Amino acid sequence: MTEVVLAAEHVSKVFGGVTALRDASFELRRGEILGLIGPNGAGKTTLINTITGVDPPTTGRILFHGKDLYGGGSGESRGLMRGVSSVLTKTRAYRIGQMGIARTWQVVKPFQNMSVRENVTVGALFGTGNRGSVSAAAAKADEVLEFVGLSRVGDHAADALTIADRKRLELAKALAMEPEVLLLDEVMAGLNLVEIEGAMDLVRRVRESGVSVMIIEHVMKAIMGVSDRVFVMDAGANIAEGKPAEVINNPLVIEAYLGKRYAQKVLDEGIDPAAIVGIEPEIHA
Amino acid sequence: MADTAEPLVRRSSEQESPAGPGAKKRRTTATIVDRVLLICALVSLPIMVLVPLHATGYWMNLLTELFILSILATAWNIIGGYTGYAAFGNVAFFGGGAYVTAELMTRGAWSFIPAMLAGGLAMLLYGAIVGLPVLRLRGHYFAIATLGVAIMTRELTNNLAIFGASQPINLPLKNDPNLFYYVALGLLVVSIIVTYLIARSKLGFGLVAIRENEDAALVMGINTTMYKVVAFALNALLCGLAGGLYAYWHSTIDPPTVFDLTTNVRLIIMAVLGGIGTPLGPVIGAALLTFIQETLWKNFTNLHAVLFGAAIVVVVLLMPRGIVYLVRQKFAWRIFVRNLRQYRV
Ligand SMILES: Nc1ncnc2c1ncn2[C@@H]1O[C@H](COP(=O)(O)OP(=O)(O)O)[C@@H](O)[C@H]1O
Ligand SMILES: [Mg+2]
Repeated sequence: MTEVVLAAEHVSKVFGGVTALRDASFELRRGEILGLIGPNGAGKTTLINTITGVDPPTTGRILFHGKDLYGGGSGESRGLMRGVSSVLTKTRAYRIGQMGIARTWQVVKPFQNMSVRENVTVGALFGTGNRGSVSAAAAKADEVLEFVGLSRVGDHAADALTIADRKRLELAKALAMEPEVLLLDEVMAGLNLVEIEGAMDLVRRVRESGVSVMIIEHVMKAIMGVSDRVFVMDAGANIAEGKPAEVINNPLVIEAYLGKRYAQKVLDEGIDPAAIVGIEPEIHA
Repeated sequence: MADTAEPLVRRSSEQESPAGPGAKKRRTTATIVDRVLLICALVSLPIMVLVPLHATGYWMNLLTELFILSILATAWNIIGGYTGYAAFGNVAFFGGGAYVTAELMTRGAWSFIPAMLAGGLAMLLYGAIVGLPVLRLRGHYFAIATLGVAIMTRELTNNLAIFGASQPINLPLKNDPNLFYYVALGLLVVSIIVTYLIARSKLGFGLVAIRENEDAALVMGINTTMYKVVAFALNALLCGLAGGLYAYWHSTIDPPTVFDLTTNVRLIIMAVLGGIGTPLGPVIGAALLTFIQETLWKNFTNLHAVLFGAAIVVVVLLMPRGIVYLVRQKFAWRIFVRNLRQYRV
């Protein structure tokens, strides 16, 4: 079996009274595209936030090449000490990006008062490349802009882009970091069919360049089309995992999306599950 | 930055680009405006160097004060303009620099320049130390905390015996307007060069990324804590140097004068008026504000404070992002008129 690059082990995340993640685990192997699906509020985005240090996990471990990103600092400590240790880990979160884990944001976060090229240059200046020279980083940025098809708007202000280009910009900023692992959070939401085809092609090319990809997507056609494996989350925990076709026919998965009663009905009447799980939900912030 | 020239390719792609040619034009105008401003600055520098040959005492005083204010506005621009952290207590570093310089020159019998540099370095250190906890806060909380730092620093100075408690300190008298003029001009030039270097460097990209979206900056591998502290400490260094110069220039300092909280407001208004996040904006803002103030003072001595306040309100309403930003736009006057309508002025 190929090496595991990134793994979550029994990760939980509590926000005040809300438990966003309870005992979530997964493994991402080298060179694979791992799909992550689940209904709204399942905790998919939160899982990415715990991995990238935006919201360090309450308990559990995130392993990158077998090493705990949070060094066991997040654990049983409670009360004030837990608050203190979470501040400390958050200020060190930049190291995660430097180590080779890059992400995109479901709610896109462009640097609005920079040009598109400058946005991507930031990724090349920092990230794993950690270049010292702005012109070397700008050259890398131009390469990435070409790769994702944004060269034509390189000089535009980042706030003047179409939705599809904003999503491409998210991807470009992450790719310019030259990561080993790329976490994509609904980069295809809001795109039309042609644009989705283009995005799928892009994701495959990213993988071919040697990057391991975890992709969250509601567009079922896309996730089934690009993923080698899919894992499914519901209410903060993973409930199923396997090849795309297996997962989509898993009664537990259909139930997570539809509730018990309707799920039974779907199974009884032999409706294509992909049609149901693929219902694109409202874009939520 | 890093403009690779391919005019033909770009022009043909402009038509099909969804963002439209307007966005592209805007950046081109911006680049031209920035170049023109830079050329203006380079041309005015030799003029400024020659001014003391002809100027009266009034002009020497006015310009020296303008340079000191410009240094303060330029310093604030690094943390407030580029990094997006609206520091509201820079007088802590201005006053601190003034006091360190004064102490070294009186008690330590240091000469002026080393004392001023030491004042600046002390504030660099002080800025880094207070910046570390305070820069964890964002937005209004950060502004209030920095104001607290300024008040705390003033009260410490007021009460510590080593700083003469609340008694004024008298520095050695020096009647040499040219010295103060040239040191102020030199410090201002250095501040502007530092800003240009930051804006073009990795540090500048990091700071602007933090301003635009701190979480996104963090996950892209930017050590946001360190970058913010560096920006804050550089800002403190320049304020401290300006304070040291001010102390020797005025020859008498006391806490209410050098820790005057309204100075914070003035220098922020200058930076905002000129255009934050641009290297020369704060200087333009400082010059304009000083000009308005002097004109009002000469013509309406009784009412000048009221009129000055009113002028600031009008200017900020009409040009909320500053003069440099406004003239960068292609149809600057349209934006101006739109704001005019919007506020029914
Ligand atoms: N910062 C936060 N504070 C409080 N609750 C949060 C926060 N982030 C996420 N949540 C909650 O965690 C749950 C999972 O959210 P999310 O990870 O965004 O789901 P998904 O991405 O799968 O749609 C939701 O109930 C959401 O309200
Ligand atoms: Mg989400």
